[in-house]
Amino acid sequence: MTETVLEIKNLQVEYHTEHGDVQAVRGINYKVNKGETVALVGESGCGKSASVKPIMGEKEANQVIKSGEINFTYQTENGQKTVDLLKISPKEVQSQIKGKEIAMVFQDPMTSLDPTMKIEKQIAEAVKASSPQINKEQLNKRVLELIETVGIQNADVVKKQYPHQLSGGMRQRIVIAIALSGNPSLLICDEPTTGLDVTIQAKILNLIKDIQKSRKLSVIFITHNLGVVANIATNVNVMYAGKIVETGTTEDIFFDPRHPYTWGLLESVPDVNEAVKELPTIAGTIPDLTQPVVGDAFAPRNKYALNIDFKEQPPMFEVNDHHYAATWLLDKRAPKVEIPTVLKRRIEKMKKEAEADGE
Amino acid sequence: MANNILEVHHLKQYFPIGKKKVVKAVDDVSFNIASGETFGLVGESGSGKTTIGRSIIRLYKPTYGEVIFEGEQIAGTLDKKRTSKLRKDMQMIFQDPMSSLNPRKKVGDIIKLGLDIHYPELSKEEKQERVLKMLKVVGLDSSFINRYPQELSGGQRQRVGIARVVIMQPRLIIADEAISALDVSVQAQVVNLLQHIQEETGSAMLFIAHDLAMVKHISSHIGVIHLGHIVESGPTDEIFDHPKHPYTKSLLTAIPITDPIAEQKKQLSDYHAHRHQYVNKTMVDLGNGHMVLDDGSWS
Repeated sequence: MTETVLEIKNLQVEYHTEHGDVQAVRGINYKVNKGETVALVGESGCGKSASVKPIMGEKEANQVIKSGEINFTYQTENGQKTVDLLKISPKEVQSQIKGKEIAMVFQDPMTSLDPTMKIEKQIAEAVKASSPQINKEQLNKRVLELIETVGIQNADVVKKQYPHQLSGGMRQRIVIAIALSGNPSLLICDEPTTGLDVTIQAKILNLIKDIQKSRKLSVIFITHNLGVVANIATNVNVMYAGKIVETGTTEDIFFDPRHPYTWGLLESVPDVNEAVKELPTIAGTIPDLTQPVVGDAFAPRNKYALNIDFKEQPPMFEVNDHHYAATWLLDKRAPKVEIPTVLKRRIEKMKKEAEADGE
Repeated sequence: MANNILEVHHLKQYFPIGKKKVVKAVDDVSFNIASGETFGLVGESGSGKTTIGRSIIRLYKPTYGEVIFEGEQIAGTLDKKRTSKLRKDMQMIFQDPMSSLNPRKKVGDIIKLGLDIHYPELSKEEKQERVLKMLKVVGLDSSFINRYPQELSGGQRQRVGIARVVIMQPRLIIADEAISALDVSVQAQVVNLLQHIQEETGSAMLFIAHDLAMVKHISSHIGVIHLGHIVESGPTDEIFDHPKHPYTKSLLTAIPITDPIAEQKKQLSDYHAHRHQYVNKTMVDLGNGHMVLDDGSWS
């Protein structure tokens, strides 16, 4: 039986700026089930981060939540409880949810750590924030435990150090340790490996996966790197211009992508195993979201766009009961369009390899 | 060897820190770039790849070694003639297009600056014409000439950074992480643009990056750098198909690919080394120009 931890319904977020009101998130819906990793992917400016900030109760001065619900289910002493994070007071979010039930890992570990404070103190503060009653001995034990949990062997040495004395990968491990200090049930990772080297990135991804399995964590993982998505996600939401344009399991998205934007994203990642003369690109740039969007926001960049794409927003068409895409190409009346050949070849090859491995 | 546009022999770049200590950022690095070819330099952060680029273009003065650019020695003290040649014929594209463009200058003036300095004999009209042509080459329309860098998106800024470089018609372009700050879709656009320009102008390129998939796409030869040493170098396909050095192998297995099944089965190959392991080791030729550092940790 799948337990839903987080359910976002019709979330709309606007930012007031001097250039006008930016409709950063234009009505998104998705669920995160227990033990799942849901990836949000898309170019910068697609509303990935804007859509998770309200979950953490992070409110910027110019941010307005136009509509929506964020239903979060968690265990309390009195059993299971579901709250709408947009309805409860910021104080409640701060005292009961943030850091305890939901924790976040950001892209740049240097800015999320205090440069003037030793590692042990930073972790201790986080532990104390979620369990104020803890005594000194237990606290020290817990700090060491957390450092070891994130795969740091010489915890005794590391805890005495300052952030600048650690490498980027080590710092990100410390940030993860702090995130885990309150024993959260939902972890939000916003581009946690983007600034890191590939070898370190691979290790941090493995760490997140290990922790997730052992603690049955649910994870929302924001990234623009589809290779990372393939590595870590169980479900994928592809975002464009503040909307989810395709959603499905990782297999759905990588083996049977349906939205031309997903095709474009997949294609523009060069394949190490196959040389092409010229990389496929997605022409143009993301639209100006201060202007109202008519039809499909992706239409002007979409070489497969139909006339209707410029007039009417496509609904989510069902591919199967866990795979949906918002493109008129899936309408019964639409002309049949084949996915780009480069991608088709790549998918066929992947399928063959998967079969060969399975035998 | 006559068609090598750049030859780097035993380049060392040390930086003193404090009174007694020295950081050996680049230690005994050698490689060649043939004219019109792209040489990819890959490695983790802190490996010295950016330093190599900066030493070659003489933002630093190399501590030791030879850098021969179109037959001219440019590692030592530079006379006027060599400085001028170097500043004209070798150009650099930086990682962060925001901090490398003057925020108080208009795009047109930024692109024109090199011409103002090195080609004072050109008339105003000629310069203007070249700037417009260059904007077109990098896919920006002429209205951009009067805009400021902060009004542009990251991809557009990097195009300005490229226009500024290409207008000098350089023989060698050093692209230092030129695409890492950009979105995937924009990365592909910029890489295609660089390749088109190269085809047209015949410029050679030193492409410094940590994204191996992109490096593979654009480079004909690559050098893998670790802890200030090149541990493996040769034709790109050769290195990707038959990596020899354990560090190269660990890098290659770590590239995330868009195949969820393969990704989930992936075994990482872990590799640790210390700087002293690489000192005074020689490169062994495995044939076809495939060289690997004989560091004793593999057989």
